Amino acid sequence: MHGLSRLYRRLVVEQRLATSVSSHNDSRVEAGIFWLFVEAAQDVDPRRLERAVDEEIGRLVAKEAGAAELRRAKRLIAAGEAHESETVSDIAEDLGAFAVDARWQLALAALDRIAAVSARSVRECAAKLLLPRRRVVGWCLPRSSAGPGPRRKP
Amino acid sequence: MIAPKLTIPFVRFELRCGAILVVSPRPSAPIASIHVHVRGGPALDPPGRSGMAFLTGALADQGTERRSEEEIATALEPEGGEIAGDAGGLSGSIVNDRWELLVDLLAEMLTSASYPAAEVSRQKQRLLDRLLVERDDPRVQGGLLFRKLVYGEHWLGRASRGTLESLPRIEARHLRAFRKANWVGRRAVIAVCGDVDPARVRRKFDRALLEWAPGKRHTPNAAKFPPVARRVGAFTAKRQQVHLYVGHLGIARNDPDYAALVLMDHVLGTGPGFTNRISRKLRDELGLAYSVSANIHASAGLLPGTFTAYIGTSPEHLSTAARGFVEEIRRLQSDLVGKDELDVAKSYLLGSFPLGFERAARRASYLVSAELHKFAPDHLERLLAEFASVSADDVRRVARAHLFPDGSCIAAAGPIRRPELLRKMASIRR
Repeated sequence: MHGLSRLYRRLVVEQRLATSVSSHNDSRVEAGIFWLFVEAAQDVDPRRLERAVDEEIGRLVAKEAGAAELRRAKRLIAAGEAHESETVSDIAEDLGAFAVDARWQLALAALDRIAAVSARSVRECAAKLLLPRRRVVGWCLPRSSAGPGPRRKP
Repeated sequence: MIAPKLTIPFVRFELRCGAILVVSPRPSAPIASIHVHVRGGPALDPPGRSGMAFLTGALADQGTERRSEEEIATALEPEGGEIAGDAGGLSGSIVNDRWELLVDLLAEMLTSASYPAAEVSRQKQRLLDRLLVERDDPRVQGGLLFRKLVYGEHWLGRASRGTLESLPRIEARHLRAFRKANWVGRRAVIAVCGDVDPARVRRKFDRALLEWAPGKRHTPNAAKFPPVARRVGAFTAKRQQVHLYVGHLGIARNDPDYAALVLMDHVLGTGPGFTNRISRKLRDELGLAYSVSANIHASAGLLPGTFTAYIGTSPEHLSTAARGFVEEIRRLQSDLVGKDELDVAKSYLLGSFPLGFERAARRASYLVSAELHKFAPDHLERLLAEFASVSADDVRRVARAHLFPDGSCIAAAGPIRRPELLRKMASIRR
């Protein structure tokens, strides 16, 4: 996750709750998974960390991103495309992944589709998909705080 | 076997600040990459402050005399840029059209990284948290122990990122002083790869680094390492698996046997894992592990690397795994490799090697390495031809000259103690 993203700035830079945070949209032919990984800083209560993540997701749902933030995100994605299609192997992999999961032509239209995204559609998408009832949350805790074996999250 | 062609054209300059600049133009490249290597690195860590060189590089993007960390991120990231640092210096990539921005930011960090106290404290804490996690990780601790056994008190035997003890002693003022004293023009090698005009890159860097003090060249101390001999150590932890490292001091990159050793590695324990001997025997036939490897060439640098055979396996299979390593090394030293086996290793190597140079970042890091090792301009082409001409006799000769199964250090990490490890390893001696 880049250094200007909301979660990185809040969790890592401002509140020092986490040492790293990343997200990954693993879309598939059938339902894929949207992953969010956060590594807690030492002695941070995971419940506090989870609450902070919830609040940021809540902000995304409650209010549309500003024009400057959306513009910056689109430029980041466009630049990321340049990195991810640097080699012929990258391009082949991208075409292959789209061919398997959807249509290969979508690989060529990725930037146009990103450019067409509005702040409203981002908010609507978050409101539709990032719901507490849709998610599974897992904590991986040190043995001293987790006890001898797996247990349910409180 | 015919070797493919691989050349990376470049132009070499000496900048006014004394730095060496190597530029490799690559028409239509979408990405430009820049590597800045500053000679010295962890060798310059002061006593008790290991990790100083690493933090100086890693935290150079946390602020300069002109910009804060957030301002650097705001300038760089929307342009598709990224900069990372470590004990060797700085490197970055960016969308090709914006390469001049990358030069400006790297030059700013080289000459005026300010290491703001708050950012240094935060990033140091992140690293300490990471080291705390790794303190209990047998694979990490096994690897560190192995390096210590091989390199002894030499800095190559230390963790370049520092330790839980040394990092708290390093403050922002130490980093500022370290940068000022050691990041100087005459110690730097800068490599650029992208769709760029070399003369223009030179002018840009000369302007951006105008204020950079040339300083003194780095003079490395003569390296002293413990003799090749069996030394054994264990890191005991309650886990299911034991991580076993077996090996010894290896070769420097300029060793004349380098090409033959690369082939030997691919026969013994390197590559995609489908054809090399120890993967076939220990993983596929005996089912001892998923992850197993052996290699002497990959760690070769200006100073000798290591020969390292590694396996992660269950404690009851430890002796079998270690014996498997030793038997395969001895077989390589006694018998000639068959023609088909050598051809498979060569074919894989000759086909895959050029693919490693597709990315601009890899080309830039190679150009730094070529400058440090004083490689000839046609080095890669000649290296591929050398790979193609390696014979079975060569492989056996270099295995005899460079592998010492009886003088190997052994580090094991997991549910095992040193006395038990010594007993198990004694049983596999000739």
